[in-house]
Amino acid sequence: MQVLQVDIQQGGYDADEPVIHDIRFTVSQGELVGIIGPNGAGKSTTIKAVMGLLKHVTGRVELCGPNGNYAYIPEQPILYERLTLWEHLRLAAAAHELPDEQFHSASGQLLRRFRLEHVIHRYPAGFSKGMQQKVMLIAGFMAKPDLYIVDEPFIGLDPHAMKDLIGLLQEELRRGAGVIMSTHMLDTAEKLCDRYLLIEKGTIAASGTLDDLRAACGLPDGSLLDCYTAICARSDEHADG
Amino acid sequence: MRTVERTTPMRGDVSLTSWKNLFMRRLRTWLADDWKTLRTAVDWVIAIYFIVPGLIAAGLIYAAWWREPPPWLAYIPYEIMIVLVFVSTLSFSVRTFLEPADEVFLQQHRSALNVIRRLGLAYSLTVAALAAAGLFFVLSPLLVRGYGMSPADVGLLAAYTYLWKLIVPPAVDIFRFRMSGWRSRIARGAVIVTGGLLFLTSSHAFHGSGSALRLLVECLCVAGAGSAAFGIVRARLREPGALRFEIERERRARMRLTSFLLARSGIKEDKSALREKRPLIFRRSQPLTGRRGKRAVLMESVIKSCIRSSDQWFFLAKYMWAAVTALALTPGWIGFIVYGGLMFLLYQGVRFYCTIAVNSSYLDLFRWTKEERLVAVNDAVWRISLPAAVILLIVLLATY
Repeated sequence: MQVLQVDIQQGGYDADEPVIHDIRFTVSQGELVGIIGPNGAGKSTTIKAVMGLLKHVTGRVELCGPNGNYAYIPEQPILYERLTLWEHLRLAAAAHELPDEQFHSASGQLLRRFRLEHVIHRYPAGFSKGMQQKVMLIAGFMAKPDLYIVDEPFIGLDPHAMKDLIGLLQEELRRGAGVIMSTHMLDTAEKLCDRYLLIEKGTIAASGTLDDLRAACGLPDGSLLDCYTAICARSDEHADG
Repeated sequence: MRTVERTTPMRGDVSLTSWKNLFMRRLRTWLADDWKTLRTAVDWVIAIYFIVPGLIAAGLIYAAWWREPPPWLAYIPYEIMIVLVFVSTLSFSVRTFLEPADEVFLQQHRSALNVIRRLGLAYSLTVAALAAAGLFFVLSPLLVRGYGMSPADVGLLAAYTYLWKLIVPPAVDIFRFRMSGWRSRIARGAVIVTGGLLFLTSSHAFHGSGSALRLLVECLCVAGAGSAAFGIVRARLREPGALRFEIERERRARMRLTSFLLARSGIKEDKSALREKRPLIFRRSQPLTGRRGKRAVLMESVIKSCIRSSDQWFFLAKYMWAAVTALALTPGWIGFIVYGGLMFLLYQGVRFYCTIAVNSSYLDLFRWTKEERLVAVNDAVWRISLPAAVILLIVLLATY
């Protein structure tokens, strides 16, 4: 069963200046789709379009999971200056309309998992970048939504937290959630993702499983990095030619 | 002899004038932004209905004070006036207009940083002097007509107050750099209290019957304060950590402006690092009310976010000070009209902070509707404003 269907003809920050075009993909339950591509290719814009935060979009984005909900975990931690960690989580739980018992149980487990239970009454705005990223992860994972939209989740995390995050993503995939993950860490993406969308110059330059990408660029034993490099080079040649 | 053609600028190539120009450009940008903010805050409705009548009324009251001191001044001893003057000295801060990138790009140009900081200091000293002159312009009829001080006494007290501005806040900064946590707070508090007591004690020299000896003592006080100010400001600028603090202070100042403009547009605020690790109010994240549910939690978050902000408390303190003064000065039934105007300003001020809180980017991570945010702001505004409104009503009824 699909949890997300995306069919964007074009989208951008100004009506007459589209940044992305012809972005079409789906995400199914238990599937992790990696969005990869060079800086400025349109990955974050695609994510914004999926979340409905892009002002000018022509197309259709449908959250078609059982509950029709999603959690977004941004690349840069976004926090209130004057709310404690606990209050941030309570606000996130309220937004997802989680019952009290579920909030206490889920937040407690996640706080222990990310080793933040001793700082729940502190301001996260004063935490290190890695700790702030953990707060974002807890706020996102607490609700157990149909779809996770995760933007560069590994930046700033220590190896222990990275392992925890990967474990958590795999648990959620087993539960039946779908995940879109934008990342530059191709070796990690290669181990985790079921499918890839390689976005280049605002559109999908290649998509599919690693085998599909290998076939597309003629590298039967190539790594994700090899395929990425080959497809981007080909795309540049087309642009030059 | 081999000559080398230089194609890239070398260290030290950039002239002093360039750094001066850079500083002046930043200052102009800041002033332009400040003006823009003021224009945004004071639209024609506020200008016509509040600012212009307020200025006319203030002018009339000021002229009346020169003719005869207000009757309530009889209940305010000179010492209380001096304490209030001392509070005004705490507002001084060194503005340098340094930017975060300066730490990286100008690190190799210590002389450039020094030029910018020196110009910033000159600007800050000028602004402080103007502020002190403005304060004493307002207070002079009270000091001359009410406390019997001579114009020379008032002028010297103004100079003395100005110099104290350059003593206490820079000394507080030095303790801020050297200590952290509760030790720093205690040390900074001790500096302010000690400074206040010294100022209060020494200010008696400016009040009393005129004599050549007293004038000499006044001049000695000013000279002493001047040399202390020179030493402390110099130490403050040379203190390790001062540069980073100045950059952070400038960043926060810019963020405040940006937050204000964005909040007026209904967009979002930016974040800045915090010094406090945990809140002073609701330290254990206690809920504000027994109410559960989406809207109640959002409203609580808005209230907590506002009442934990020192900016909000500073705004309320300034507002209450001005409001109580305005009500005390307004005779008879006009007080009720002034009260209505004050309630409007209070509503606008508190709403501004609540709007910033409810437009936080954190909320954009979830699906909060515009209507939910609006309801939360409205609920939060009256809850935050209520205590101030009640206190002002009591003042109004007591002075009626």
